This record gives sequence, C-alpha cells and structure tokens, in this order.
Amino acid sequence: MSTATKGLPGEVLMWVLIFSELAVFGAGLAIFMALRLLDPVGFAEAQLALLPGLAGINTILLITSGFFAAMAVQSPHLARPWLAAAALLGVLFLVIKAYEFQHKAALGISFETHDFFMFYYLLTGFHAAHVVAGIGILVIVGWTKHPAHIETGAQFWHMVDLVWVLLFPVVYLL
Amino acid sequence: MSGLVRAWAGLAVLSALTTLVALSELAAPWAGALILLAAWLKARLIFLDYLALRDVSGWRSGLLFGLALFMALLFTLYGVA
Repeated sequence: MSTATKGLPGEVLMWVLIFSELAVFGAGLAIFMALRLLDPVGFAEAQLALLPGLAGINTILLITSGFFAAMAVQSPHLARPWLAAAALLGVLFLVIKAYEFQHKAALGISFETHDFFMFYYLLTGFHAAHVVAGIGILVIVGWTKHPAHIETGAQFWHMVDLVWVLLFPVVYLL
Repeated sequence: MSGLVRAWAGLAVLSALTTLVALSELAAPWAGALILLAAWLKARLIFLDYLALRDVSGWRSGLLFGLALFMALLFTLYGVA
C-alpha cells in the first residue's frame, strides 16, 4: 500500500479529488435539505414518486462492490476477478438507475416538475456519471494490474460508495 | 481481510435497519433521525475500513470531525423541518 503524505493511504491527488467531490455533493445535499424547509409538503409528495426499494437494492450493490474493490487492494494476485466483480455490480447499479429514470419519464416527471426533482436528477444523475467513470477506472487499473493504480482506482470507487450512502437517505427516505 | 468483512457486514446490517425503519410506523422525526444516524455510521465505516483510515490517526480525526459537522447540519435542517 503506497503512502503519499503523512500516512494518508494512496495517492494524495486522489484524496484531493475525494475531498472536492464530497464538498460538491455535500453542498448539494445541504441545499436540498434547506429547500425542503421552504416546501415540506411539496417535497414529501414528490418523494412518493420515487422507488426507494430499488434504491435500497442499489445501496447493497454499491457497498458489496466497494468490498470487492477493497479486496482487490488486499489481494493483488486476485485483483482482476475482484475488480471485475466490483465493476459488474456497478453496471447492475446503473441498470437499476436507468429503470428509475425511465420510470420518472413515464410519469412525465422532468427537471422542471418541482425543485425536488431538479435536485433528484442533478444529484443522482451526477452520482451515476461518477459510477460510469468509476467502472471505467476499475477496468483500466485491472488491466494495468499495478498495485498503486489498483489502490487509487479503489479509492475513487469508495468515494462513489460514500456519496451514495449519504445521498440515498436524504433524497429517498427523509 | 477480516476487518473488511466486518465492515461489509456492518454496512449491510445498517442498510437493513434503514429499510426496516423506513417501512415502520415510527413517527417521522424519530424515523428520520435513526435513518440519518445509520447513514453517519455507514459513512464512518467506509472512511475507516474501505478507505483504510482506521490506523491513520491525524487524518482520521479530521475527516471524521468534518463528517460529524456535516451530519449535524443535516440533523439540524431535518429537525427544523
């Protein structure tokens, strides 16, 4: 396991990216919660159109995928199968997310329907874009098989996981 | 490796508890508080075990403090509503 600075595991640039992404998503979630104060009834009614059961399944997929990515770091000789399994669960996450978006479209729900849905699409869509990027990164680092690259790729994947465990309850359940 | 398995199991249990609370008849303020608490604990597990910060005391303290502040903000915004 490489150490870039002061014992912080992995590459320092990946940590800069992780802090930046957490700040962006954190700000988005805080603004979402603040807007909810202005229209609690509208937000509650809008939330009824979501599919929290599928989002819950997606949570299990991502935390398990994160476990697989962490196993790839700890078992470099088996990194490829672990990373492939992690990426596969990422693809399943996207399949469910695509169904969710299609479900909203079928209901005629768009960005402009309500502030709730504007933030729903922004936050979950931006997160889904990170899942797409993360899958690509897992494939690339699995191809190189370099332990430091694998650790960096796994860190990006854990950031995606971390954002989801905070986003899911705020958008789908509260 | 066992630490990772424990972390994954902890995340799975907290996710299951979140689902149970969301489906329960528990009054909204309490249910929401429990759901946010579970999210906080899940984020801590990801920081400590998936991102391997458990043995990095300085960074760990700073990141967990930042996370605690953010969760306090969410608790406050939720509580005010």
